[in-house]
Amino acid sequence: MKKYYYTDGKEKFGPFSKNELLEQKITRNTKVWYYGLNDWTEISKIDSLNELNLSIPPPTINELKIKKNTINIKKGNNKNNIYSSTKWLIGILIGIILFLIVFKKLKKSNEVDYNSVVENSYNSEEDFEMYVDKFYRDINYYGIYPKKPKKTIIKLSRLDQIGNTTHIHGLSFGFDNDDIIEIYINKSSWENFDKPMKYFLMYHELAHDILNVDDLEAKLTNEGKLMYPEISNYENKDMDDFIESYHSLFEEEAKKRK
Amino acid sequence: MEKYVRIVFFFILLNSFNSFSQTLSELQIEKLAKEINNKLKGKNIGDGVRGKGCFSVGRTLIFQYSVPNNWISDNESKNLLISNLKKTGAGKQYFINNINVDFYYFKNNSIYKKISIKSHELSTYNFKLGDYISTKNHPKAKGVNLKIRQPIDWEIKEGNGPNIVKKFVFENITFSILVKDFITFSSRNQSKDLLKDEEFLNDLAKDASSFLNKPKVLSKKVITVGSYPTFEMEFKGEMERLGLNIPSTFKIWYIFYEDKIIVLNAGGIDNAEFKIFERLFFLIVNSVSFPERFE
Repeated sequence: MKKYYYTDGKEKFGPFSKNELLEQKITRNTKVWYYGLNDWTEISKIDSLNELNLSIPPPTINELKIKKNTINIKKGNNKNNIYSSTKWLIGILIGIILFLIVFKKLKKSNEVDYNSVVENSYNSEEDFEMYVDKFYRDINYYGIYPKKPKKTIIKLSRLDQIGNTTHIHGLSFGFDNDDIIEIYINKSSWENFDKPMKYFLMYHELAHDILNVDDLEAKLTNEGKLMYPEISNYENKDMDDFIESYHSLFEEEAKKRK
Repeated sequence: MEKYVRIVFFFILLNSFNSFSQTLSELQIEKLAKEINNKLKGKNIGDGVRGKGCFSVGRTLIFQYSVPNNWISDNESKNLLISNLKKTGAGKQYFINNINVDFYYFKNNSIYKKISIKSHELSTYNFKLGDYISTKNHPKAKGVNLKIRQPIDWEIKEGNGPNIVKKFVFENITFSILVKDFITFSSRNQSKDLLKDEEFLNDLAKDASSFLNKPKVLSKKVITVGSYPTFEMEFKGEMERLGLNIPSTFKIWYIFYEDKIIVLNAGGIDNAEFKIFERLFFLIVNSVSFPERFE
């Protein structure tokens, strides 16, 4: 009994008897081989399988179209096909690289380069110690007595000259570190701020640094509060606004710490 | 003209006001009038002018003179009298004690001329304010930028105490500007609430007058100065200086400004003159402003 093999162009399947071959997913164009044939040959071209050929339904119109297209592509240019695939691959790769670059940049914009901030800082005649003294006086008034670090660094820094810090008015690096108060204030912000805004900024940064309090969400309901992150909107605030906002925060902190 | 001058000098000798005294009562004025009358009646002033007598009606002293028939008076007579009263110092005493003075001149027992001078016309004080001074960048002002108008003719001095920024001085009266630290920041609304606490006000009043012997608080109220809540109080007592107990009086304003208390302190000897200056103190305090609020 003859044993038949067929191929889908990639793999060969078999051996099958003639009846078994009929049960496979084959078409009239499927190439088969059996012992005695020189090469893989389409079923429709093998006389001994004519009976089998007639029992396979002809292709539908859609199948023909797909087939035609496939043929066209194949016929068009095999080289073009390779080029096209390579192009797609390169495109995808470029896309991935661009995405990674943008992602890295976005990630970097939220991170501040400490060294750049320090390198661009300088000592000024501003009496920042006054703000620290008042801050401690005011938290003590609420019964909060945090450790007072021996080392305090509060300087102006040319944050506008560092790419990703132009929008930042002040930076506190002493968060969660009770051994140091380290704050850098944007020089240009400081020069433009009036007295209430300077107090808002200094108490905001000192609250980060000394009380380890985080920024509030930048939503409307938090506007006016000391830890609101967008204090550039506070241009119309006066000292009363500042005073009542910090009292509110310190009162909350005092309750939390009891 | 010469006659008026002599008349003025004559009654100055009769007056002996005590600079420590309060404003004279009507009874005291009446008593004074009697003393003057005893000395003036029949007194030959010169050039035919004689003292006829002196009496009082309410707060007005009335001097009477007999003048000869050839004695004449012109429209400038009143101004000349006022000028002479001021020059000799008598005018100041009449003003301080709120005493009006009338001069009746008789010819043959008939009133020939009457000159009336109201006490305020004899004022030698200047209640006008001059330029603003500022405490900005003053080493004792603790960062407070306060503007206040200085009274004209008063001397401006630097404070000699730790919190005294400036002083306006006129004779025995001093108006001082002090800046003290408060316990914490206080907004205007918070200060207003604080000043509703009677116990707090009493403590403040007690503390303010503690340097005096026998202190007595005369008045206290909450007002607004330069848009900031202010506690105004008045008290008096005795202040010991070189063994002398000097009756003293003070008017103080405590302005609650952010984390500072600005104290405006008017003090002097407890006499009628201090009372006169209350109007000026009001004008000075009313001139206070804090320019930072508008910068």
